Amino acid sequence: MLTLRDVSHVYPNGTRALDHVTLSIPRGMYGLLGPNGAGKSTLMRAIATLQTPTEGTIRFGPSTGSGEVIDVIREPEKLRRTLGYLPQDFGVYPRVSAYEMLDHMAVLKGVASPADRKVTVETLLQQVNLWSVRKKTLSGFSGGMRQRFGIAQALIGNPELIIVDEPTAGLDPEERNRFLNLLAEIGENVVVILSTHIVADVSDLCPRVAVLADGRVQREGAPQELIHAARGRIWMKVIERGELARYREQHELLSTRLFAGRTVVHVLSDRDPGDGFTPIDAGLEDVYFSTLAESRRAA
Amino acid sequence: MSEMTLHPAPRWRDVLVEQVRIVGLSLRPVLLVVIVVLAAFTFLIARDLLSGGEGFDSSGMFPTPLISFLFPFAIWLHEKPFGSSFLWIFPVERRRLALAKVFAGFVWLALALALFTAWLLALGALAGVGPAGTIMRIPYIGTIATYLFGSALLLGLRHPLKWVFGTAGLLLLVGGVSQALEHSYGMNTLLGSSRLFFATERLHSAWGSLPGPGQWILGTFLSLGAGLAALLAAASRHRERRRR
Repeated sequence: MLTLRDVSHVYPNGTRALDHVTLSIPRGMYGLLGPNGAGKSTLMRAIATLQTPTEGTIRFGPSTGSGEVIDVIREPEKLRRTLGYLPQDFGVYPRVSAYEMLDHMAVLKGVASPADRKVTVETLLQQVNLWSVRKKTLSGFSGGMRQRFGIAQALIGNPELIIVDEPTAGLDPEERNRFLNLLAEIGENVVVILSTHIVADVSDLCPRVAVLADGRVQREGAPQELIHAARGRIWMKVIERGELARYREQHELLSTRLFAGRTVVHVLSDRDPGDGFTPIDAGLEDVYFSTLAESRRAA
Repeated sequence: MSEMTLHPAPRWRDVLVEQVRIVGLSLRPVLLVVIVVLAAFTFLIARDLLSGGEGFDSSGMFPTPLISFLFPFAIWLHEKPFGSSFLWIFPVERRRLALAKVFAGFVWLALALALFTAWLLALGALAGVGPAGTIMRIPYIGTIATYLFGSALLLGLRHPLKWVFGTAGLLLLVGGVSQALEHSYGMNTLLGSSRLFFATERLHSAWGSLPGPGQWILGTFLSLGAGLAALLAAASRHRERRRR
């Protein structure tokens, strides 16, 4: 389990990117949702030991009383021995092949024996379906192939904690689907944190999710619990595009989307807003948008 | 998760060897360019020799210090010493990992210098120039020292190119102003000191002539020492800072 207590981070320019974040993340997939600038990447970098938060503690260890617990802030190198990290933007040597790069990373992760490395690298390349292009240089990889390579390097050494930061941004639907299936496979027995602003990625994969905005955890729980809490508060109406401005003034719109040339709007309201709105079953996206709306109101 | 498996940290020797290997692999395109350039020079020099020319100009020095100053930029092109980088998530102490990469670059630089020397000796032999005359044209210590300074620049500054271009721009500006003022006032006159004038003359003559052994040892010690000190100071910026 990964435990964060009152984790805050203030950058030298005074920006408070994280504000007393407290989370307990068990084994399995865990979604971290939030808009750009919410603090997700700062939080991921803090957990991945790339930066030290200015306050708070981060601990990683067995959820039962036995076994070693790592204080991530005091012993970052220890966590790195069991960490897999796929950052949002990772640089690689473009003229090096996938096989050579994975082999290099395996050495740096402590897989010393050449025989063990060979097995590790070959198994991972097959697992992420890059075996056929193992000798191709990384500069020739498509976006989806790069992300799959990224997951392969994150899996070297059978890590117990895997952090995946905005992994499906820029991927086409087929590549995204393939990637998410791969994540689902690996996410059963280890802690996998999926940080994203794409609600569908989280709703498909994660039994627990936290919504981060303005550096704070605004909501946390199982998607079904969060959806249940929003039941009866989400209303929908189909309007003409030209009416949108009026509805924005009169109601707090959660989301708008086009459908067959007309605009479908969702609003958050504890009681019937009238004006032809109908109640609908909330989805995780509605929960997400309503959480953001409430945090903006509170700010 | 009842028990956690912590894999051992990599051995320091493995890290060094692996950095040498990966830096070599990443420099393959640079190597191709160098081979093409040397092949072209070999052809031109050989053609000049065959047509009765000198072929091999035994005066002047090769600008290897400039090349070695820029060499770290090629090594670190795809890594970000500052900010989030793959390099920093491995279970290796960061300062040591950065220095391992610098060492890896030095290994390839030394190999390149050795091959370049061999090439030059071969050309010199063809042109009838002795080994001493050939080797004296390559400033080996200066080359190593500027490599250390270049690496220190990259590791120590978030925006090294800004500093490089800024400094070069400043020097050009000072040079331009100096030249412009020379006609009316003259920088030497403005500085107003004949002692400075004679001192720069002595410096110029010392620079242009071969040093004695004592001077050479002192110069080597100072330049390499300064380079190493700058590198270690720069690498210290990447030491893990842990909040207690």
